Amino acid sequence: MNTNAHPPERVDARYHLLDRQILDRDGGMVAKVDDLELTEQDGSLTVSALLLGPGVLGPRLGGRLGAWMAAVWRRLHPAEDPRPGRIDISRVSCVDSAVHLLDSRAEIGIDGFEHWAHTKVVSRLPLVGPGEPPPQRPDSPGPPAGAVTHRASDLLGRRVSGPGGVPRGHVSDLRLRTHFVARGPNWHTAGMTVTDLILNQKATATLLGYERRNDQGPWVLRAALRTFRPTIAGTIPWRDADVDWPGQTIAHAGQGLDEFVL
Amino acid sequence: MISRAAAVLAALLVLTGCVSPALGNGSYRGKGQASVQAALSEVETAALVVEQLRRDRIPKAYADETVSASEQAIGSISESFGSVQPPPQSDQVHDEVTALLDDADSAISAARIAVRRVDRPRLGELLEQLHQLADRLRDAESRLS
Amino acid sequence: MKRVFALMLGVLTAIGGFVDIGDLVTNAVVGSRFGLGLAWVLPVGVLGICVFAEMSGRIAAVSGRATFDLVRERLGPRVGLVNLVASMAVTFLTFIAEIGGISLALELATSVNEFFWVPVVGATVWLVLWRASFSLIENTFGLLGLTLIVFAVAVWRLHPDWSALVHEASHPANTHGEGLPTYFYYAVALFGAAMTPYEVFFFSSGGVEERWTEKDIGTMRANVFVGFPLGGILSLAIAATAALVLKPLDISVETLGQVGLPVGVALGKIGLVVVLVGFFAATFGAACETGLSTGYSFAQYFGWQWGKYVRPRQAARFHLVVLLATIVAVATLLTTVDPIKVTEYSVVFSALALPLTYFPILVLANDPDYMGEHVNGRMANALGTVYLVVVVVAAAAALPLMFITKAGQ
Repeated sequence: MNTNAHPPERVDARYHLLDRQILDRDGGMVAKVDDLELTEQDGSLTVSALLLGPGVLGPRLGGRLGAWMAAVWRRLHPAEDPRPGRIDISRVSCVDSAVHLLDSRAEIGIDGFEHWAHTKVVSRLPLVGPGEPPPQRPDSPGPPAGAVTHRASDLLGRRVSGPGGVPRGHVSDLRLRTHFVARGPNWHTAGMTVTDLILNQKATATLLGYERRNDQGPWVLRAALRTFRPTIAGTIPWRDADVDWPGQTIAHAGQGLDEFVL
Repeated sequence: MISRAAAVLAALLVLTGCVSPALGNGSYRGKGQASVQAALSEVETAALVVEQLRRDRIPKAYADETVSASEQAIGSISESFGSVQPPPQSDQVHDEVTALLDDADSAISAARIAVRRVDRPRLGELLEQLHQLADRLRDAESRLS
Repeated sequence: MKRVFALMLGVLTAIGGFVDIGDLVTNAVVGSRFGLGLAWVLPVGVLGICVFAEMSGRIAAVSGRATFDLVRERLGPRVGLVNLVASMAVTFLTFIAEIGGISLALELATSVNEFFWVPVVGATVWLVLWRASFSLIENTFGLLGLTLIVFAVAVWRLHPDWSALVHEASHPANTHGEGLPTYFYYAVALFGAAMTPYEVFFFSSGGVEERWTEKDIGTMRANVFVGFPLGGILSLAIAATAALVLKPLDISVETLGQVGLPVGVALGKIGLVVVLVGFFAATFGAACETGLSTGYSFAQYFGWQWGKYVRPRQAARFHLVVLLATIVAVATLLTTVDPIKVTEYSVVFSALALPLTYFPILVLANDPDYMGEHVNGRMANALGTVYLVVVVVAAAAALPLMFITKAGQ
């Protein structure tokens, strides 16, 4: 039993989690984080799962291409009302340049397309060799019944206005605090809670890192990008944000923005 | 936005592949010169191959393929030039260039036949013929420019 | 001792693997039409590929992730998708050109028609990619590609006027009879042939395949800064042989056979046999690289398991993409399109895609989250920034020049 507490870590949803590669316990590739499932729980918002697959990536890409991607996925998925691929947050061990899971690929399973590609094509090719791939990933149990879930992509890009409608900016990222719990020799991610919203003047499509830090090289590129692209305006604590979920806006109760800390 | 860019790109691609038909006398002359220049390249290639084969410095398959490629090329050069309608004052250019291209065509075909048979004496004759033809083509090229 | 051997192997395979069908054709065409008047483009292109290959290799060694994998993370899914489509299109076009090149080389060697070879070659390339190990592929074709040294030997045996040669190479000039737009069109083409986008994807993915760590950075740098320039010298030799033999005869290169002819003039039958081995090695090696790169970029965007370092059954979607790419490439070539023409378009489109490829690499190599203390130093950043400008200029000029010169006619 590990008595040392693992200090909570600060992680930003879009910069550190979204579009990151998910690796299993042995370093094998699982998928990319295509979106995050957020659950409302006693007034706080937590990241409850990683969402994967074209059914989730499509809506995030947006536009006609995204809609097409999601439609193709729905059509080709064997289930009647397919649920997106989901990995519960409790299966995450740590996040560095990738998102690492506690389980091996055999325990996690593979997604439908990989399974189909193996069964229908790869296993029928000559000289394929022995061995079997991992079994297909079972449908995740999903969030507890009655829980209200949202997606991170739903929050990102939303316009935030202060009292009287004064514009504060757009949600550029979600600041999370990760809590850890020890199980045997490993640290599990116990939960990730949304603590702040990071705001930018405009809704930016890419985060290159230059808008966050002032020292990333090369200086010519940094100077050029900071001239043409807006930098981070500041942060607001989650408790001061009132999200109109079905709508498109977020109301900010506080007076001004807090300074952005890396 | 992406689909529009792709459409523009595709249109540009199609345009670059199009060859505009010769209209005026100046551009017909230019077309003649370009055809002569291209023919010269094929004739010299055939001559080089013939010479190398005579001196046994090139494998037969390599020689065969290279001279056959030249033969195909001269065929399409002739066809391309011949299919263009000569403007009224350019009959002389038309006749001269057509004659040169026909000679090149028959010389290179003869070379291909001799190469395939490795007919050494014939290769020697053809080498001489190809060199003379090349000189005539150079001459015509400078006159047409 | 074993480390020295491994180092030498790496450098030698880098030299032999540098030249592909794009370099073979473009250098020969340029040499035959412009002499050495465009030779200045080669060092510019080679330095550029060295700078960015080193960056992408360092990214792979330090973060354990391949470049394209990280592109989606930093650029976001939408821009990353544009990057994927553009890079994959160019790489796939190059893949088609390489398979065509192998078929042409076999046709030159055997007189059997190219179109018979195309499906045979396609099947063989796929089989190699399916079952041969990564290092076996790299080492075999890299070492065999060293036979292209025959071009350098040929230059020497042609007894050129060395001072005139050096003078021509160091004084960039257009040739009488070629328009200035055509001169710059071929400058862009030569640049694109030297700085192919697939090279950086393949290099970084290869680094992950071979499980590079920070300790391998030194070896990687040796491979890049010694191997690539020497490979560039082979490219220069190809241009020089064309300039010495074909240009005086007013022959402009349009077929693969013409590319090798100067070596025959210099060295006879043996020279041409070696050239054919060289053609085969260069194009087959590059076909493997571009085929794998097509699979790598697709899999790395979506997060699928990829690579030859796992069993095929563990990376089914990756191998499916490679198989489909091979089938479509073979089908395209069987429509009787000329592989030389495909090559000429592929190098210009490579130049067009370069800014999209290189910009993320420069950003990623500076990101301390991935690179830790191995972020770019001042030299890498200075060169990287300069080259970013150069590739943007080349890309901006590519399409207008192609349009004006009707693709170099």
